[in-house]
Amino acid sequence: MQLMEKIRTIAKRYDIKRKWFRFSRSPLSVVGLVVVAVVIFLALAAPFITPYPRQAGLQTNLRDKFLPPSSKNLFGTDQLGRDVFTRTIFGFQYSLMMAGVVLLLVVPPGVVLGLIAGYYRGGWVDMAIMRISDVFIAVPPLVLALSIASVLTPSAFNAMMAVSLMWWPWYTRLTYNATSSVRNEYFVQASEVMGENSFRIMFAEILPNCLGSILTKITLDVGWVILLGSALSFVGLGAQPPTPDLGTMVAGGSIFLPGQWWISMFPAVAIIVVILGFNLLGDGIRDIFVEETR
Amino acid sequence: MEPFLEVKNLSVGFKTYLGKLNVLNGVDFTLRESEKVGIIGESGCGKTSTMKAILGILASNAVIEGGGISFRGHDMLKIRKKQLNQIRRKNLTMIFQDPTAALNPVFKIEELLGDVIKYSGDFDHEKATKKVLRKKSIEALKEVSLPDPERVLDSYPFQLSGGMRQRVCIAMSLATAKDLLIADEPTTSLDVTIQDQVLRLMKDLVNKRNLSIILISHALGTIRNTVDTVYVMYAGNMIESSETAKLFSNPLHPYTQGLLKSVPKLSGEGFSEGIPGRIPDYINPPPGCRFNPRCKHAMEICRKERPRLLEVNADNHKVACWLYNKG
Repeated sequence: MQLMEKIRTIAKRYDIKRKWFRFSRSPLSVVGLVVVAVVIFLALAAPFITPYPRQAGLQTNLRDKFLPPSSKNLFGTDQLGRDVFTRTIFGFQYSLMMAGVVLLLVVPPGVVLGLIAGYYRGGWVDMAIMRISDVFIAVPPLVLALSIASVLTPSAFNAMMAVSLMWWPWYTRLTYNATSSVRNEYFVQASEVMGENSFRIMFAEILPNCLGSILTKITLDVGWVILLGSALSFVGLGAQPPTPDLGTMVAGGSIFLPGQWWISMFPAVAIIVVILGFNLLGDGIRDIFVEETR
Repeated sequence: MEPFLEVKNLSVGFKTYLGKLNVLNGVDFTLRESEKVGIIGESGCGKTSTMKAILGILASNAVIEGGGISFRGHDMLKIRKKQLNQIRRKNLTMIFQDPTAALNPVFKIEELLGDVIKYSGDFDHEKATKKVLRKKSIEALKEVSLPDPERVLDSYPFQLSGGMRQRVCIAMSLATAKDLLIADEPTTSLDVTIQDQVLRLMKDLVNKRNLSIILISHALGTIRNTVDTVYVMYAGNMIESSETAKLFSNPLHPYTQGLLKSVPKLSGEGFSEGIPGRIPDYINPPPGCRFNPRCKHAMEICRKERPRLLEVNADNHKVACWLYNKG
């Protein structure tokens, strides 16, 4: 009972009811939420719910190779006789980890740099930060990630580093724009008049006003990071076999198309589902904040 | 009494892509303890810029070209940031024109007001528990006669009406102010009845706390009822200053005369007289008196030399105009 009470007061403090109302006005957002929740659940529970968890690792089963989808192997088996269903579910783990690590590495520095540049807009700090970020943005993302990943030894970790290195400028830009539009509002001047220092004005007054768009971008970006990571794996610069990475699986199965279509088709569909889910969720989160800040 | 705020010959320009705007052109201005001062003038004549210069919140493209501002012995143009913040926190405060924009939209009033009280230096802020702050906030809101302060504290700024928001702003300002309240057109964005209430409230609180106030307003009636001394500003110059009653009964500067005649009348027919033309271009302001292109009495000297703000009679009525400063 006490727990329920606590949940209720927290919900009230953050206005959960109104936020949910705004979010759920578009049914697609709810679909996105459900998809994301299911994907996250599957990824976490993969070792327990998949029929052949050991086949996500080194185990092979050459006797049953190239079996089409059946009740025993829902998505069929690949060229080494491994269950595609099992490996796809484990693939979610790698995709989500990729997105999580990249965004964790990218968002804090990107946001802080954008905040500083936007606050000291017009000065040399702004100039330095924004021009450097422009350099990174000028190179097409996949090309930059490809070149970085190919200089380093191909591995899942290096792929994450490569994607991170080209991703932060987008957060810097987003925060920069949001900050400079808030920067000259009266309430910022009012805080200055009341004697708040620059640090506090940046982080306690301006940043909360930018959080809506940052959070929306994070959610939308999960999908794009997964896509880019899969693309790197597809060309062989990401996670290496036998890691059950979705991109690697699509690449591995592509030589057996169209005859054994299930080997690469199911992981490909899985990628689409994850990206779509996060995009729909991101749209819903944007709906919450767009009206909130009016 | 010695003035505690002194602005001397302050000149401020703004760099833009069109060139430099020479906005403030030697502004002189003093303020004594618990004096109430009003500043009137057209939009864009530098009233707000002067106030921002005092508070040190001019836009980043502003250049201070000369003159000085001293506040209680501190040189406000050279003061260190830390000390400036100290002064802002304890001595100065400003109420802005638009109360909607002056409140951070993502916080509830409780958080906004609580922070101000917490850091006002009135009491140890380790002791400032949420409960204490809330109690203090409620007191502050009651002081500005807001009904149902509990509900207001739990609201976001956009859930309140304009008048309520301005009251919250006043409560926030007065939670810190010890010396000087700068009110920059505090009632412009409110409707007439609310304007009246808010002004009365401000006047009462200022009297009660013995604060000095600088009131900027376009509403001449407001100025007349609220302040002791009026300054008239035109194109970055103080052109006339006097006790309120004298200024309204006997305006000297041709611009002041025109300004007073521009007020639309509630009775009678037709428009008021007004002043033709508009404020000058600040990139190439007219030489001499900046009002000369619009002045009926413009003479040769007006186009050549700038008149200083000098006392005309012995009664502290000052004017910057060659009609009176002949010798």
